[in-house]
Amino acid sequence: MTTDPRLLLTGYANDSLEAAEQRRLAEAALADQEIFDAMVGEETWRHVLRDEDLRQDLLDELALSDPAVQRRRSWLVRARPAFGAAAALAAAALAFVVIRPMMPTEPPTPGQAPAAPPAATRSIGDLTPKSLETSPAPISRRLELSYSLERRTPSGVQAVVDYPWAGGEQLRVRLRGDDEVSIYLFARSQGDDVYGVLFPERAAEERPRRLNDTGFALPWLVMDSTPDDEELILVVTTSPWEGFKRQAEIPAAELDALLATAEEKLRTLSWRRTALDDRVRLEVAEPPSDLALVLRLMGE
Amino acid sequence: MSEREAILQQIHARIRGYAASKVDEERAQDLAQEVMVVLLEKYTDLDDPEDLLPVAIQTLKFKLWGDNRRRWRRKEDQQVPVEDLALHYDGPSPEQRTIRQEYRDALRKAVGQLRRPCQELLTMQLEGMSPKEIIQRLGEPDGTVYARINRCRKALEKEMRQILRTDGE
Repeated sequence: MTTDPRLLLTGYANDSLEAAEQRRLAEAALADQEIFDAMVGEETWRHVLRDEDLRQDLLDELALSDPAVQRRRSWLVRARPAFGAAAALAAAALAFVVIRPMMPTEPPTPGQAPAAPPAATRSIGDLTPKSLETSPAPISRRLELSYSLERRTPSGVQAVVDYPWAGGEQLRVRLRGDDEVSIYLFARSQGDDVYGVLFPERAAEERPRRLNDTGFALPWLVMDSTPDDEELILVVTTSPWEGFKRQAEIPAAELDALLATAEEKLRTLSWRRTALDDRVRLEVAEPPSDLALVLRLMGE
Repeated sequence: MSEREAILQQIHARIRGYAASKVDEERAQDLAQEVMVVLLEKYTDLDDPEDLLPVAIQTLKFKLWGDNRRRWRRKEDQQVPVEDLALHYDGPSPEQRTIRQEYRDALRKAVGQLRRPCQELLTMQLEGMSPKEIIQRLGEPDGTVYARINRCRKALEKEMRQILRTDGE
């Protein structure tokens, strides 16, 4: 057990004290005004570390203020303010896939065709098509996920639907649901031969997270006004993406081939999309052990 | 006097002592009393000092934030009651949500204003690294790293005060 007051205070701020250490620090603070004052001094930071959403917000802010990260996070989008809803950020496709076959363990060398899914792994084509609307069959596994778009404004954060953005604006995706999921976010501009991996970008972002009704907000995306087409791909899976290694970029051919294989099957699978006031709810229901949603967001 | 009452009395004294270094004596007394009311009415299930103290400190922090907000804005007619802003509540009022949002916005701005070495240090903490891991990563003596962490947190508090002042003008 730590007895050093400095360590106890830092542990208090980090919320990492054991029960006995918490008791020791509390008793010391009650007996000594200086220690109490130091505890108050740690409260702001403690508050930050205990609030997952705020913590993520601050990490985003820190990333945005880092020029190197800013360049990597910039998502080249075309500003078309005159086209109203037609220029909006919109979900263009949704796929329900077994995630494991999507990514080879090792990236292919340049010039090499993307690896085929391992034969032993269950094929997406094995899944029996069903409709959530019409099939009364019992569902053994379900993934329900809502996403909404948020825009940062001087007066706060605003949920938006079909929003025609302008260069320099900041938008992000918020996910809500009940499952524990792993989240991946990729982006590229037209002509790029690599996707930037926007999430996970740090070790702490790699762990699966339990969604709830408050939701989890992905990092802010800085909208660039460079005229260009763009593509943002969000993958939400019920188990970590095997073979995925956190990296800044992934070859476009590799990711495109894997996602295309999955999305080709989209229309044969059971899924439902419901537009609500401030969010879009997605439901998939099929019996495999791993579920994933692949969401393509793009300027139309 | 019960054990709980004795602990609350000690907390009252400490809060008053801290508050007196930030506001005038009369307000310090009021603040200590207000925090006690929250503990007595909302946290009847907490008895141990290690449970009561963090709640008391967080309540005090929000109350001081509300005080500062009012002071810098100089709009007494728009005063917002900040009682019960701590963890345990049935649901915040719109005004309380406003204060919470402002607090978050101020934090966001404040970290953006910090110097790069501090930002890097705070990023490591936000990423979940323990102090020991940070010491290992930086390869500097323990004391140096703790001193740096403390300086950065103080700088963050200073930036927050500055932002509150600027926003209130």
